[in-house]
Amino acid sequence: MSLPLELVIPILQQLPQRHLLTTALVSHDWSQLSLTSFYDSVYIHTNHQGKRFFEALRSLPLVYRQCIRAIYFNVFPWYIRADCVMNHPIELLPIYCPQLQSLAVVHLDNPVLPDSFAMVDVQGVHYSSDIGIHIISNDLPLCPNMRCIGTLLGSESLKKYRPIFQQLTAMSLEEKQLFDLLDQIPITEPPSHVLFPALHTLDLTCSSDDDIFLGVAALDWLQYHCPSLSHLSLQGFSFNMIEVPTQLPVHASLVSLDLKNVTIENRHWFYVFAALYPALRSLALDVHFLDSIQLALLTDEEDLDERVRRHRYGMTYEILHWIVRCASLRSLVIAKLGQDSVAHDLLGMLAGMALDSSWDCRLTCIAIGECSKESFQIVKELLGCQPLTKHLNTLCLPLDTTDNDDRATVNGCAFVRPPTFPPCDLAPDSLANISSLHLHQGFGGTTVALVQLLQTCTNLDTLTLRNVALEHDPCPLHFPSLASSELLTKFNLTSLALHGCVVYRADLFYALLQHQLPQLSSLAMVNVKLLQLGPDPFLNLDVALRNLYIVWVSTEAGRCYTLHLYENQSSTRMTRYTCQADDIHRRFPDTPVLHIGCRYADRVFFNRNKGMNDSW
Amino acid sequence: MSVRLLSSDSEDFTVAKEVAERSMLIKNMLEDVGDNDNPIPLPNVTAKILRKVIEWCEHHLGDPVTNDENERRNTEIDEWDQKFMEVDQETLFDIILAANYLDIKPLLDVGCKTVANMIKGKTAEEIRKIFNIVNDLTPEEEAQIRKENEWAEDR
Repeated sequence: MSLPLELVIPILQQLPQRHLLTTALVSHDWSQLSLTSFYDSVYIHTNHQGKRFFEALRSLPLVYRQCIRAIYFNVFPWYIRADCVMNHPIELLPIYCPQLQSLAVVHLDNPVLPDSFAMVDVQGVHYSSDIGIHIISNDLPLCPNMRCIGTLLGSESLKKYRPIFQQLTAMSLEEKQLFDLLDQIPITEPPSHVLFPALHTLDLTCSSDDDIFLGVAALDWLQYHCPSLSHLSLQGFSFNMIEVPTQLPVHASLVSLDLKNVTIENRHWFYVFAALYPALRSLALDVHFLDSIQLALLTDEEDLDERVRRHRYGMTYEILHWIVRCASLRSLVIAKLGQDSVAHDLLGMLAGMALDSSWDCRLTCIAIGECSKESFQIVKELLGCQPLTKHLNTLCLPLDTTDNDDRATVNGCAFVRPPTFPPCDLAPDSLANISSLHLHQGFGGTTVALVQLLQTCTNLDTLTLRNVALEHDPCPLHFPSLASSELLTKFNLTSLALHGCVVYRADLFYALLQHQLPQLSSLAMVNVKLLQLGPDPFLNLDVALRNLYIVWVSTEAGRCYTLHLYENQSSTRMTRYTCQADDIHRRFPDTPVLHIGCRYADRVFFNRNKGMNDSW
Repeated sequence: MSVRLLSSDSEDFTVAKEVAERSMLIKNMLEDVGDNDNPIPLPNVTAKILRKVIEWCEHHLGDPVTNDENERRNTEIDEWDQKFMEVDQETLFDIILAANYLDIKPLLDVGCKTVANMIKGKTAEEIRKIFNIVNDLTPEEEAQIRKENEWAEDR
């Protein structure tokens, strides 16, 4: 029986993009339906690919060009260059893509939040445009159907967009652009013209080196002109002395506030934020306070140390109250908070209040960035506080230790080994609710014992490791059965991402992937060293991967900065992906560095030297 | 409360109202006609397929309804549904057609995902063979399509 054509559309909608290029070759009807679906959203991963896309646009039939509603440029953090988009003839976009609604530069670097490497590429929704440079120059003409601009526009371009401000749902503004709008379109009483009635996401970026101050008036303006705003990010601004107005506006639509590299000089600002945004579900803090030199300029008090201490305490106290009183808050990200010890103090106070029941903690996500060199200790304290962690399902933790730390205390175990996570003295159920765990560190030295971790996190679904060393073996004193057991426990992990990691005993790591993770559907390895892999570099996964991301992976057989990945189907069931080191770095010219076999992967991302060397 | 459904081959089914209301088509009809003992005729669905559809609706009675397009697309087929969909190709297509006609979105999703999984990793020729499709593209047209979309695989 042949497939009725009316069913082909919903079936194609269930197929990941890359399969649509195959289904496009089946027949006339299938071709048209496949390509219509394929061109809905365009993802561009490298500059080379971008060039090819713009060339292809010239000859692509109008029927498909009309389908293009979104274009996402995928920018790697280590390749950010202002011209990555400017080199393309974007002035032709309204002609080539008349229905374009979304244009975003997807920025993959996110130092604290779960490393979104594996997600951003395919979803295209969790983007952030905090690149702080003119990615798109003044050349972007008005695309009349535009809704979502996920990058900064030059001021000339922005002017062209003025007539369609009322339809925009997402955009970014620089400090000067914001202040111009503040001057030109003031708040009127009684209310009349609202500038951005549909806007739900706004990135405000300050790229000036000088301190640029935002006042209550600017936030008031945002509340008036963006009444539907739900996500606000403020980057690079300063908030200085303040007279707290008796009546503050309330911006109740806002559910997510992201302060990035923001300087706050006065503690009353936290009170203002709390009053302005009472409905926050998600709060991210990357905040600087005044340092002692700046404080010395502001005060004639003799005891500067005392002044610094009071300043810091006042800040911590206000933030604490903001968090504790915001009943809707579910996600708290502390990327950076003043000087090192503030985040430590804050977490300690939050834990204290949760313990003595003066705060009913309902957070489901806590993410901590670099808070101090002794962050490992903070992590242990945090995990030991059950009232704080009872609702948590997502945790992002730093693992840094100092050389001075007593290893036995860090590891909670007398067995001599480097600082290791999880520590052996962790309460058995402290990580039991966590489904999504992200561990990172800045300057190395801590090891993650993978099997021990999986054994401790019984509900773990997603694991991201960044800049850590991976050890296979569990502690022989506390997990002797794991170490010796022939019986292989199965774990439920579905997504594993390694970024900047060194894997020791890669042969055992391979064995774990092959035999103990039957649910695995996403595997990402970026800048990973696989050591002690053994003679056979074949990772044979009998699973159907949705995502396979291999970028900059090296083994002892070859130190490869660039990889070729050949995809060939060896049978109807298995597909083999082969990586080979490039000529310069290849020690054994004909030996493949890496083979990965799995049932056909839905989304494959890999770097080829063409895209990496020539263009970026 | 129960509802009577009449298949195209005139078999009469009596099912609980909440089961029948998984179908938006039937739900809307019931709202239009009100309480009424007459069977609802479903001229596009045979008894064999209707029985399967009812079995599915009964099993998934308590499922939460999500309208999030992304979430719906990214959920995997669960084990029960996988078993449920282990039928011959003709029945599979008939179930999907019925889900489409009766407007049962989650069943349509599961059916389409099942077919989509049959497509993944296959060549165009293999896909034609599975679904009995005649290739009406000339080699020139095929080359043209490949060329037009080459940029996507060239990073």
